[in-house]
Order: sequence, then structure tokens, then C-alpha cells
Amino acid sequence: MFVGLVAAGAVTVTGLGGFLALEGRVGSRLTGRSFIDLFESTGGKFVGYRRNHAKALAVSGRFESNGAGAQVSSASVFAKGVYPVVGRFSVGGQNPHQPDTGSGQALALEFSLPGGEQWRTAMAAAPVFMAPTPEMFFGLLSARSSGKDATAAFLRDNPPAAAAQKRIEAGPKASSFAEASYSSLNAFIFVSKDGARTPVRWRVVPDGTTAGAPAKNGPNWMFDALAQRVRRGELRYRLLLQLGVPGQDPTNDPTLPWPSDRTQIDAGTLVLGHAIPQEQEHIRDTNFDPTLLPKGIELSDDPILAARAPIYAESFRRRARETPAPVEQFGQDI
Amino acid sequence: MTETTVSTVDERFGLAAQLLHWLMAVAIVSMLVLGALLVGSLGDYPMVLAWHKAIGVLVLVLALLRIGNRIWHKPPSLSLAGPERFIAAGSELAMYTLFLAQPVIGWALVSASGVPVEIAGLRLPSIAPTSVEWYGLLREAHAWVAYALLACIVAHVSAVLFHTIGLRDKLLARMLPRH
Repeated sequence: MFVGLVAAGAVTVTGLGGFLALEGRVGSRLTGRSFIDLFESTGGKFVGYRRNHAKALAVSGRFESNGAGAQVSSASVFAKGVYPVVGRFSVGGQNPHQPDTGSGQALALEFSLPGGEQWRTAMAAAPVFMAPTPEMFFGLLSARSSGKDATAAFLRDNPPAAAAQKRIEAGPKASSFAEASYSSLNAFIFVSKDGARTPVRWRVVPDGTTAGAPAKNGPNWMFDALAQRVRRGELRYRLLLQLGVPGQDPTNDPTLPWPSDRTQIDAGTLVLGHAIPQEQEHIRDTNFDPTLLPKGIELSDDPILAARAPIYAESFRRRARETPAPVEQFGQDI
Repeated sequence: MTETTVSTVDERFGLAAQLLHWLMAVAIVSMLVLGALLVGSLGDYPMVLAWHKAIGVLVLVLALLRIGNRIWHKPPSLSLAGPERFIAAGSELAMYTLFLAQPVIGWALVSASGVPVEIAGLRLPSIAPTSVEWYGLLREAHAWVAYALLACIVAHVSAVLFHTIGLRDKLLARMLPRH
């Protein structure tokens, strides 16, 4: 009798305790929740918005693939053809009403491919990412929320993050969405029809767009300029694939740039324009998880890339239980 | 086909029922581990998610087979009495409901999130409209059903162990092959 009670009790404690431990609810293991909690506690909680890159403008357009990408990837998006694309231009930060600063631009895209396949990517106008690992990224974000001194101390103790910051500061600056270049940040593995695997980073660069620097009128000047620009006509970009050399160019560290003389493939033209309200709502309700890839593109061993999936998922999970934020309209009455 | 003629003490579940029970036991415990890991992992998340979806489909297939088997083959009569009999029957019904519902909810929440449902390299149809509201509800339901399933399984294993080790009534033997 007694032994039976002990056995039953042991099973209960192990089962329930084990589950909670694996969920990371006990102890100090970093999870998707840790990052979103940090965003909410330092940047504020804005109900119905995504927990980072909250301020955004939706766009709609297409990708005109020229077929050149097919030499490194069997993905349908690189076969010559035209594929529908929706996306959102955003700036980093939790506050959807924060005033524009002229920096922090980002671009997320969703390609609709044949057979219901999708390719989602979330890029930023920066040459490299801020930290090589999720742990160091979390430490950097925590230090930043504690002020200048804590950040300086953190960067002193974490040379990879300090080096990344220098590269980002030295990178090209654009004060508009139209003129910025957007980088995949992470490395991906492209798989060709015959199975050859090539590490690839990609960039979306303006295709001769010379909009000029926008006037800094009002808190939303950068978004107003973009909204007015896409109402006048479409923005055109090139999708450039940078091919890494396996074994030489690191795929597991997004803070390290690859040599600039690496082979580059111009895969086609990305055309982005005004999104109708229905598309705007679809884009608002989409989680631009950069690990959602078509066949022919695979994840690399980049730990930041893998970690983006649970962090984006946690943001999506939280806002899905809230009333969705109204779709932002910019540049209407100027 | 049934084993109703066997004496009460020695009554056992049929071989198919036993096989399905133990396969599901392994699959569902793996699922609970993978599900909890999904909540608690960072770098392994994409890999854990791929396994979670694949084993989820396996649980759904096994659940359907098992419900079919349960309907066509009468199980051995319960040796329990009174309220315990009621609890055992109720928990069996609860577990069947939960392990059938959970994979369907999982499939539906992936569908509602708007991503293509791709499992173990195979494309499955979407079974829910693309909707962030639906996703929110289904994702929350998935978590609550997981906790309910965990509670049922812990109670089930604890009760069987208590009977088998504590009361020495050979309850576990009903789910083991004759040797």
C-alpha cells in the first residue's frame, strides 16, 4: 500500500515537474518569452501590435524573377517568372507611435509561390546583426535598457557585440525607406536541383530609386514620405544573392560580414507598391517568421536565425489573443 | 474475437488494443516532451517543431485506429467497483477525447496562422480559415488541452501503479501480453 502511494506520488511529481522544467518555467533558461517579456518591460506593451517593429506600412507588389537564382537553388521563386509579394516596411521598436528618427529601417516580405508554398523573410537596413548568439543579444538588450554605462560595460565585456556595433555604425546610412538596402542578416543554405549546397546571404537594394531625402515634417516623416511615394508609383529593388564559400565564410555568426568580392547573383526585380485595405489587414496578421522557407532554401547553423522563430512566434501568440491594432495610414493629409 | 470468456482475474485487452495502447503511450509522452520543449527552447525550436508536427500526425492516425478498435472490440470488463469504476471510465473517455482533439487543434492552429501545413515533407490541406483570431483561440486551446492531457496521463499512470504495486491486484497485467 505504502509503496504504491510512493510510486504514484513519484510519477505525479516527475510528470508535472518535468513538463514545467522542459517549458523553461523554472530556472533562468532563455526562451521566446524572455525576449518578449524584455521588449514589453523596456519598450512598453502596446496591445494588438507586434512586440517589436510595431510601427509599419504595408506594401504589395511582385517579384520578377529573371531565373539566375536557379543555379544555386531549386526554389520555385528563382525560376523565371512573376510571383506575388506582400510586405511591410517598419522600424525597430515596440512603440507604434514613436517619432521617426531616420534610422532602424526594416523590410519584411511574404512571397506567394506555386503550389501554395511561401517564402517569408524579415530583413533590416544594417550590414550585420548586433550579436552572434541569442544569449549575447539578450544581454545587449538588457544592458541597453539599463542605460549608457551598462551598455558600454557590456560592449567592453563582449567584443563580438562591440565589433558588430562598429560595423553597423560604419555601414551606409539612408534616411528613407526607398533608398535603404535591406540585408537578410542571417545565412541560409541554398540547395540546387542537383543537390549542391551553397551558403547564401541576400540583400534587397534600390534599383536606381532617387527619391531624395524626405522633408522632416512631423513625427511620421519617414513613413509619410514612403506612403506618398508608393501612392505615386511602385518602388523597384534588386534581389542580390551573395554566395559564401563553404568552410571559409562563417554561416553561424551573423555579426561577421563575408568578403565583398564574393560572387553575387542578381536574381530579379522586387516591385513594391500601395496595398489595398484587405492586403494591409493580411500583412498585419502575418508573422514574418524568417524560418518559413520554400523547398530549395534551408536553415543554416546560425543560432540567431533559429532563435528568431520562437521569439516571433511568442509575439504572434500574445497579440493573437488581443484585438488587432488598426491598420496604420500614413501621409494622407499632407 | 473478444475475450469475454476469460475469467475475471485473467482478463486482458486484445493484442491490437495493447499494441495501440503502448504505441500511443510512447508517442503521447514524446509529444508532451516535445511540446514543452517547444515552449522552452530557443536554438532548437525549428527542429523540435518539425518533430512535434510529424509525431502529432502519428498520434492522430493511432487515435483513429484506436477508437475504431475500441468500438469493434469490446474491452475486458472492469474489475473495479463503485466510484472508482466511474472515475476509470470517465478518465478513459477524457483521454480518448483529448488525444483525438489535440492533434486536430494543432493542425487547425497551423492552418489558421496562414502558413502552409507541411509535415515530414508532405503537404496537408488547411483545415481552418486563415485568421489571427482563430489562431489565438486555437493556440490557447492547444496549451490547455496539453495540460489536461498531462494531468490525465499522470493520474492514469499513478493509479495503475498504485493498484499494481500497492494493492497488488494485477491491474497492469490487463495491458500486457500473456506470457
